[in-house]
Amino acid sequence: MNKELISDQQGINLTVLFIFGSTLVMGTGGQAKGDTWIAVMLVLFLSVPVLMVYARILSRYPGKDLYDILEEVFGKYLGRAFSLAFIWFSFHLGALVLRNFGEFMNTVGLPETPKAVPIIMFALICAIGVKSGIETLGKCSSLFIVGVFSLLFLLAFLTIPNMKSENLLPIMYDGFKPVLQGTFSAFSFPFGELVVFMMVFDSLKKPNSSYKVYLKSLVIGGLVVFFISIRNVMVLGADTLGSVYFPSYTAISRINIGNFLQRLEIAVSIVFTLSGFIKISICLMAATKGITKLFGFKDYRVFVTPVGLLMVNLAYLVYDSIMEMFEWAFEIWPYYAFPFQVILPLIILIAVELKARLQNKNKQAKESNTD
Amino acid sequence: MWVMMIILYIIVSYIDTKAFTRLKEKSVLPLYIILMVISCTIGIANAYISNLPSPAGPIRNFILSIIGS
Repeated sequence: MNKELISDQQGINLTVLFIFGSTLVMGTGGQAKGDTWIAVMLVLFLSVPVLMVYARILSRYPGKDLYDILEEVFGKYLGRAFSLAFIWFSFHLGALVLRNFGEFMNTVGLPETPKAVPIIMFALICAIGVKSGIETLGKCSSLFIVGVFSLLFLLAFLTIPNMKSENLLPIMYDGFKPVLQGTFSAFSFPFGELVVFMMVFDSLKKPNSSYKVYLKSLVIGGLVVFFISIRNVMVLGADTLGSVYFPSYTAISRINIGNFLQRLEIAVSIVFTLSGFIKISICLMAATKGITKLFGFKDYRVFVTPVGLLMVNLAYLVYDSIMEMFEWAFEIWPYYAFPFQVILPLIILIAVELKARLQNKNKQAKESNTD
Repeated sequence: MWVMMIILYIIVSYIDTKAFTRLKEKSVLPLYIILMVISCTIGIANAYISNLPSPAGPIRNFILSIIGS
């Protein structure tokens, strides 16, 4: 089977859309309330070292994904145990985003339709996307990113009349603690989730470009999330921001230019659909690739449908209500995701570096023996 | 309903293996079938048991007990 390759630009597009995923609709760093924008700004700087860890691991083994690296570094059994953890994380994340989509559709557009319907339909589209391969997803992302950015700029421009700068004040009224909590939450959702790309970035054309892709996407995606957060605070104010489920949707619904240009919130749904498609597809691809490698098969495409259907089942039963979904996303997820996003990658990096040093030492010893 | 669900899963599996996936490795079939059966079983259970345990509950309780809130 020919290996599929994507360009750096396509990698950046995929990563930026992945960051947007459900973040632009659900918001991030909710604990900070009116100071969300400060939390997002802080997390932009704090994410850099973590993303460098991911890129360093990938650059040590060019052309290999995380599952291959784990097996090479830790051996067959321990490597597969680590792989299992990352398979679960990708699978779970995909199911959660799928549920976010289902809840969003159910809340804003289709209240009478059973949640399962949009979830199954969306999962089916994602499964077809994953079956088409990473190259197709990369090309899709190049197209989607143009639409998403055009809509975001247009909406940002149209919301200017509704923005009130006094909504940003008072800054840090409740102290620095909520901002820190918001920063932690914003790191795990969405920036830390980029760990999933370690299972996909073996497809980059230039093997060592993972640094560039991760950093550029963080800057582009992070700045957009920052501007969206500040816009939501300025349009809605801290109190309303904390009481609505989908702040961007509510903020955009306030656009009314001369009683003519209004009801533009559909644009938010379009952005969510496009970026959500990429995010779920990447998660599905990562989980399917892992399962395929775990059982020693070559082509991951065969298992996309069963894994996608399992994801649908998990998405359907994972929460009882939308309230539980938001409690999980902002209160539980940061702690749950931290080991997968920071601790495990750090352990892997240490093991990778130790192994590389041991190999160098052995090589030097062999060379001195032959001299 | 469960009969319909099983029939749907069989149709999806058939179309998927025949039309969309050119099965080069026949050895993948057992794992494929196992995954489909698990998925179908959870789907049927989901439809009949209203409070089917989700992994989110135990994870949530565990984390809440750790962070002490």
